[in-house]
Amino acid sequence: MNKPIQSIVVVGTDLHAWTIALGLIVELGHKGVSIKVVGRPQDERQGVLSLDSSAHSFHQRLGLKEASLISTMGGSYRYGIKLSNQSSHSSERIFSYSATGEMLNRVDFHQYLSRLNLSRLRLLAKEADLEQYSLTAQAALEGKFSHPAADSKLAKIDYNLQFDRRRYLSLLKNAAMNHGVSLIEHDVVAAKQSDDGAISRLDLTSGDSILTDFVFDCSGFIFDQVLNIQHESFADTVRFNRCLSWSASCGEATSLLNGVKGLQHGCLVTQSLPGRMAYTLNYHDQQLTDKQALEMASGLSQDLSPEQFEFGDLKAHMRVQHWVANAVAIGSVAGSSGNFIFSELFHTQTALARWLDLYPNQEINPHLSAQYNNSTATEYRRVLDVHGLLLSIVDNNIALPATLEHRIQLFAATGNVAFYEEDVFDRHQWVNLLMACGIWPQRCDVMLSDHSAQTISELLAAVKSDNQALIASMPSLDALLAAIRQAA
Amino acid sequence: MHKDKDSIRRIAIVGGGTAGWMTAAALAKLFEHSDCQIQLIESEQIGTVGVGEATLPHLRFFNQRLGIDEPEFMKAVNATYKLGIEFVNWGQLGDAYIHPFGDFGSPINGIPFHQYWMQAQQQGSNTPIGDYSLPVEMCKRNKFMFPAQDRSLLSTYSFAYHIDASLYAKYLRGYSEALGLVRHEGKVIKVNQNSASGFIESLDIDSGQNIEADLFIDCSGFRGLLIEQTLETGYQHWNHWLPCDRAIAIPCESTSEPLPYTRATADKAGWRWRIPLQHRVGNGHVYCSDFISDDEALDSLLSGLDGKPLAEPNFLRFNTGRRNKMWNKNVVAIGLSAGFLEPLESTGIHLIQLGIMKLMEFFPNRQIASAYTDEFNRVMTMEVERIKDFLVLHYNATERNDSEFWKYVSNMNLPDDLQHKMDLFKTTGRVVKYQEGLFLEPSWVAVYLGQRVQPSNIDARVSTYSQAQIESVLSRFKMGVDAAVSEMPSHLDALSNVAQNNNDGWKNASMSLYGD
Repeated sequence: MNKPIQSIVVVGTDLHAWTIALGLIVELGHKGVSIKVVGRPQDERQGVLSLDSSAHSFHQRLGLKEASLISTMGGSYRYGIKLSNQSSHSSERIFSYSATGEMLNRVDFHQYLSRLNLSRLRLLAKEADLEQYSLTAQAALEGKFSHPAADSKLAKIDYNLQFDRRRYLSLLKNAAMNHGVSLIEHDVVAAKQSDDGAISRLDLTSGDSILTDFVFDCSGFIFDQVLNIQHESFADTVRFNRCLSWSASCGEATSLLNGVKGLQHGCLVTQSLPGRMAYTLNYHDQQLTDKQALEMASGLSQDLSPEQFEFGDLKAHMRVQHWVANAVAIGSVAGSSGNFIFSELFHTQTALARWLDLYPNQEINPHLSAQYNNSTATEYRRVLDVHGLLLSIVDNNIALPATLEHRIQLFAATGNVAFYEEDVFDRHQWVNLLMACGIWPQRCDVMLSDHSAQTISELLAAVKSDNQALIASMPSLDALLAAIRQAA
Repeated sequence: MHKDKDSIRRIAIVGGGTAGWMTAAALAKLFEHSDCQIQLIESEQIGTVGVGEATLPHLRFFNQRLGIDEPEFMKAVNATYKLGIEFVNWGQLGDAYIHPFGDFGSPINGIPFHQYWMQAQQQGSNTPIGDYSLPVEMCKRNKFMFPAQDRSLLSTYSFAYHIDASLYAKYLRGYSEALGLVRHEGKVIKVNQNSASGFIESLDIDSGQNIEADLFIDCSGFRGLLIEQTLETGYQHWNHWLPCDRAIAIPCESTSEPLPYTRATADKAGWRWRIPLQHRVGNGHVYCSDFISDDEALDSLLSGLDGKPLAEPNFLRFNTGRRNKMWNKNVVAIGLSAGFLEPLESTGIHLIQLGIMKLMEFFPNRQIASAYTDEFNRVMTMEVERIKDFLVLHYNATERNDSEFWKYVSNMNLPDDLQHKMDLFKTTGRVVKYQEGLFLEPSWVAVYLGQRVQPSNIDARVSTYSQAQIESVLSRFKMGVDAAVSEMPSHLDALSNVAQNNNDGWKNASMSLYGD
């Protein structure tokens, strides 16, 4: 048997680097594996970090308690995203993570709605929207929140967390270092490869060198300058290349819904934390100059000074290989399709879990990296499907991936969801997003073709009524957050 | 009443047999309260293949969906319970292992159980991995109990049935006709197509009738009367990887208590099945005609029977592979007309069921938009291809070289996906995981380890546990399995309960396919 890994270096000091470092030290530290983070500390960009479904298991794995995270970092919860378009107020809809309604007589709930919709030719407009029957969408509109509760009608609630980005990074960094991660505050200037292509030594600006058995690259140095691994562009689907971020205090109740709003030249993402709202304007610099973007942002938050706005680049892509020899690309080095529904941190958390699942020895095994690369590339494509669908309501001219086109066509024709390997959404989440994006089936399940509109209306009214009763019993989000903070 | 003018109102199923009557029953139930007319055309002069007697746990869902009472079903088809398949002589002559409907152990600290087992083997343990599987132990001790619905050890398995497939078809015929399905006796002598679209419009049968329909289900068997002989859909052959092309089936008298598992015994140029029913044992020999004659194959089959043969041997010929499209225009191929995979893992009835379920999920209107057919074909192709890989694994993962057949299959080129899966396991002990598809991690582990595929490395995280720590965990689990199985009733007692209408346990059994 070849030798086990004894030393891992994480190159870079951003949020992704500390996520990986903490995950590695918790999983491998007690086995004697040393974890070093290498790079000069840099300012993490401001804003709100919206975590995804992968964060629940990630926190659990690291022993991070949710209530403690919420209280120490002023975090919050979210149930979904409000989608809207500047050009049409009637197109405002809510995408929620939780399933809407329940399967009845082996037929998905949304099929009942489709049946009603078809029979009434959508005359009832908003009344027929799926969100009207979504427990969490309606709760979010009332500012009410509940965790899922086993063996109850609240059992199927899905929710996600969000935190201040810099405070979350700080927490991860402190936790990692408390567990034994070493920070070496110098940049990497050169890497030595052994005959099999493995990175065996990193030379630093200090003149020192460190030996390593495995490298996670969150800086781009290894993948761009040493290994020279190419990218596959997603720019035909995600057509923004710039973003402008800022945040402003907010006296309104904390929202359980983030926002994605289509503008004439761009897309505005809003995220809510207690007492604060964060904004990100995504745009393409050929359609909107930085100056115009700043004017637009200043118009939305007039009390802020120019230095409180932060410009950034947005590169929609993925590497053609994510694990090469003994190096893995992480964070924006690995790829991105923007932070619209899934954040880049989603890929980092799943990458960590995937790599640990394939945990290698020192010897390079091409079968392990092939398996990792295949799964990782597929995951990026699945997220691109989600973001492509979302952005299609903002921009009619984007190129849809073939898998997304098939999903849309199938759903529009049949009301069924095409499910692909490594899908990042459950079926019900696809249904919620497709319908929130205004894609309605042209027919309903054959089992419902002989149900009268009256029967279905009564059934749907009962669902609404049940939801209202449940929402009435939920605490308000802000009251709950205050109670969590107080308990801490 | 249908209110949609585009709804399909007439469905014609061509062919009876297991595929035809399962389809008929499912559609009859689906359209129980509608005006959709379902007709089935079959001829008593055309025999059915009549094998496919070992099933998978999924059949329980099918029966449940039809509202079929399990004890009634079991009595009607002379069923016994099935907990897995025993593979004899596959890795090497004299080897035997059971591929169970359930797990081996349970993951520890997020690492699959078999990694700990492999580490223990490297440290000198010789306890078979089957000793850590509840259903394997149940098979070995001829026990049966319904799986629990909780998260305990007793929930870590599932079960299926051994059935008389011809009795199942007969049972479903009665079920379908009671729901209004119309059966026509006769042979199809002419297929009438729309000259512009190529869609099939009607069938002429030798009784003089003309059967019109909007949608046709081809259950005509290997020949594919509609999907191939009429629409010329094309066929992808897999003989290179699965070279067996013939089978002989024969029932025999039962001479012992029925076992709760199927047996698949590797032979000189193929393998023999043994399926224990309540009243008889089903037997068969699947073989490759390039390496063994029909007479030799028959001799081998007859010499291995438990008891006296109950019928003449039924000789079958087949081409392993799949139809290029299983849904083409307004014809859906279900069963052998869609493709053929040898019954090594009892997938025949499962693929029929899957085709029916997907047809119901994507049930079209009369225009039959490509969205329906594309998705049906995509999903079915993925399922069949993955099953193919799993079957090929059984032949390729062997140390046998005692015949030309085994020399061929152990050295043949593999499909790329399977080659990657095997390379990964051989070098790391990892199983390639996927969300969709029939055979998941425990199944692959069962075959890899049962057929002597020894990884050169295991998960490095396991190597940091001491021998004592691993031994302690494994020993505790094995004792739990031993104790649980000791308390269980025998398989024969469970079958007696069915016969005596003392069998309500199935109503509370877990419906999990591979245990929780």
